[in-house]
Amino acid sequence: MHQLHTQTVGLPATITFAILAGLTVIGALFTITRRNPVVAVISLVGTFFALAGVYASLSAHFLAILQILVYAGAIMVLFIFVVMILNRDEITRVAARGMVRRGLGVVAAGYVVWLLASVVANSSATPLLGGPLSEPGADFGTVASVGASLFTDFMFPFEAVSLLLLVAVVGGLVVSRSEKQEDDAEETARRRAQVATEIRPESMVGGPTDATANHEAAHH
Amino acid sequence: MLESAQNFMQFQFGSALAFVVIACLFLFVTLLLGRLLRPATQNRDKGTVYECGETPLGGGWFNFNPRFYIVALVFLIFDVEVAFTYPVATVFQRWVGRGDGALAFVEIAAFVLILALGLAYVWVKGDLEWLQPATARNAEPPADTTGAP
Amino acid sequence: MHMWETIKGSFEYGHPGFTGLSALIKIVYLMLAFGPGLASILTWMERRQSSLMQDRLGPNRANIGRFKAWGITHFLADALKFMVKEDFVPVKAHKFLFALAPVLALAPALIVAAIIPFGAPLCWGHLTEIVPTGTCGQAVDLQIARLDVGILFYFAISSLSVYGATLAGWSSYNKWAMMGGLRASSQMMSYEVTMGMAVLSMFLIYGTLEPGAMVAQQGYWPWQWGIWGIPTALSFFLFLTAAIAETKRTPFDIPEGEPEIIGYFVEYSGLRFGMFFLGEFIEIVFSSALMVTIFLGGWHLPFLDGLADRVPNIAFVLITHGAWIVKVFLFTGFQLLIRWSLPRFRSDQLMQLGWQRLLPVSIANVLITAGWILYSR
Repeated sequence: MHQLHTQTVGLPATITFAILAGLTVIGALFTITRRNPVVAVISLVGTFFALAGVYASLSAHFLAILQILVYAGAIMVLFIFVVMILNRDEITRVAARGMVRRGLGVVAAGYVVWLLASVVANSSATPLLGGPLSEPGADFGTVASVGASLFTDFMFPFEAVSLLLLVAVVGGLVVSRSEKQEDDAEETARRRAQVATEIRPESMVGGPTDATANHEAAHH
Repeated sequence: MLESAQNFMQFQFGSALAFVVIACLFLFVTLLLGRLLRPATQNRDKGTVYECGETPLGGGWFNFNPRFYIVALVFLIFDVEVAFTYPVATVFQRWVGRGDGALAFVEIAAFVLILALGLAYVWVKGDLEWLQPATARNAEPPADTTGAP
Repeated sequence: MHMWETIKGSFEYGHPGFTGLSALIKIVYLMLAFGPGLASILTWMERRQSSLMQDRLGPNRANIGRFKAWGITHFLADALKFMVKEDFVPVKAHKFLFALAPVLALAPALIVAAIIPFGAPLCWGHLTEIVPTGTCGQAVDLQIARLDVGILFYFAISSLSVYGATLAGWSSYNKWAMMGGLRASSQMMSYEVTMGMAVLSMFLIYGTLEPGAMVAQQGYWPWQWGIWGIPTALSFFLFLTAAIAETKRTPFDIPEGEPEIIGYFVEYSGLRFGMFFLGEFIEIVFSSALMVTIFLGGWHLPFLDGLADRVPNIAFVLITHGAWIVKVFLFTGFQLLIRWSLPRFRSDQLMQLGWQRLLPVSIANVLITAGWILYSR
């Protein structure tokens, strides 16, 4: 693809690619090196944005926009919320410690690299091997061509996606609700105990205890 | 330069990218200019956060209600749905013109309705009720205490 | 001499120099002149209009020497104040994200302008001649990027502005700010879905996502515009409601909730606050421009059919651009009017309206529109 670009579009495209690819890598490095998880997530947003630019430079325009719309704009917001729901102390505890965990991380990362390398090496159209590349068609990567293929070749996967999303929404809610209900049950039990102590005559001061109880409830 | 359709599209995307770069540059230059112009006499009191003039109590990062997380989750699902239906919507007219309209309609309707089912599930299970968990919790115990005297 | 010829040649129509330079001029015009300019005037207009509606005077005395013009220069005074005001940063704030948040809030609001067509195409080399529509061989589109993904670009970029509010709230290390940031992000997410589904029925009708092509499909007469028709009028209403909610203004100003939590920007002062402030108005300007493009005929001047066949190209371009500006301006004025006419929703009502009213209606609208297209063929 590199050669194709220098031939047809020339130097500007190569420079654009270099900058965008560089930003992608830098963002990814920031994602794994920052201690603050919110900064890490924002770096990942930057990575996705730059990656979308790379997709666009490869004529995959619809994919580029989806990369921003779905990954940078929706999934990462969910990540931010998850990070923000946890407290800062909890977050620092999450960081992987100990040789076993780190070793597992290295093994997993190595496996991914090996997988990618084997795919790239076995593919006939890899730029590394200078394999044959065809010029993309006039409507390659456009919304209309994606829509047409969703209507023809990929009709079943398209409908399957809607089912998958349905499962995702139900699953996600069930998981979050089971935690919420536990919280609720815990909270109710705690409050019952509190009320039981408050009902005794010597602690019948009213106001302040109510206020703290409500305050805590509001923060949960 | 702009002969082929692909090159035309590339150029348009390039313009959009240039727009992004210039917008960011513009904002950073403005911020830099502001930094040069404004005074900076920070002191301890100026560095406190605003809590209606009171001295701040506790930290600024609290554990918030998981319903915000649920909204983000449901949003993600529907965002993906929107992204998938747009390309199909753009070719719908062509398919209708070709006489395959019924098939296209069924495909769109099936996709949209399956996701509407997801919305119905969330709705029925009460996850869209914004106030419900908080009020249920608040209302119950204080009723006992205030009723006592 | 030879080199000069080469440089000159690359600035002829169709060559890289020309296309690049024209793109740059368009970008600078929309991003530095039109967007912030109209937004600045709106900041004054909003206060002046509200004061008229509430029987007050409003900002009426800013002046440059003798030039007063009902205090319209107030926005310049505001800008100057923002520039020279001291910038307080809370000690415990996360400095980097605190600095980044205003940029993340304002940049997407500007960038979405890239896809909006703001006038009829210019015919290079034939500016003083009469050029009937579609006969120009050297057209320069008055649109920065004719993206095939069009409106999706708008949604993709504007979905990034969630980070501005969320990070501003989180990085301030202030409970009110955090609350405002959470409210803002959940509200923006809720209404983005409705926004997306509402315009889906328009895409079924237009068969394209490209705003320039949409404008071309609409005619000069108001009944040829996108808004004309039952499903499309409903779509317009849904989109307008969601767009106002996206800008987080009354009746949807729960993230700010001025009497209670002030908003995610409570810790911001000076220029950084100014960016949030201006960002809100720029969002209004360009979301209005988008609605004008999809629903209200874009740059088409109503009631003057065949104007392109009667006046020189440059005049036609300027007239259509003027028509576009007037439409956008009136539409932004309409949004200001809404702000000062309606009371605020409660946060549960807001969520209910978004998820349980507008979204089901917009989904039904998509199916009805699809069925209608199918039936009418």
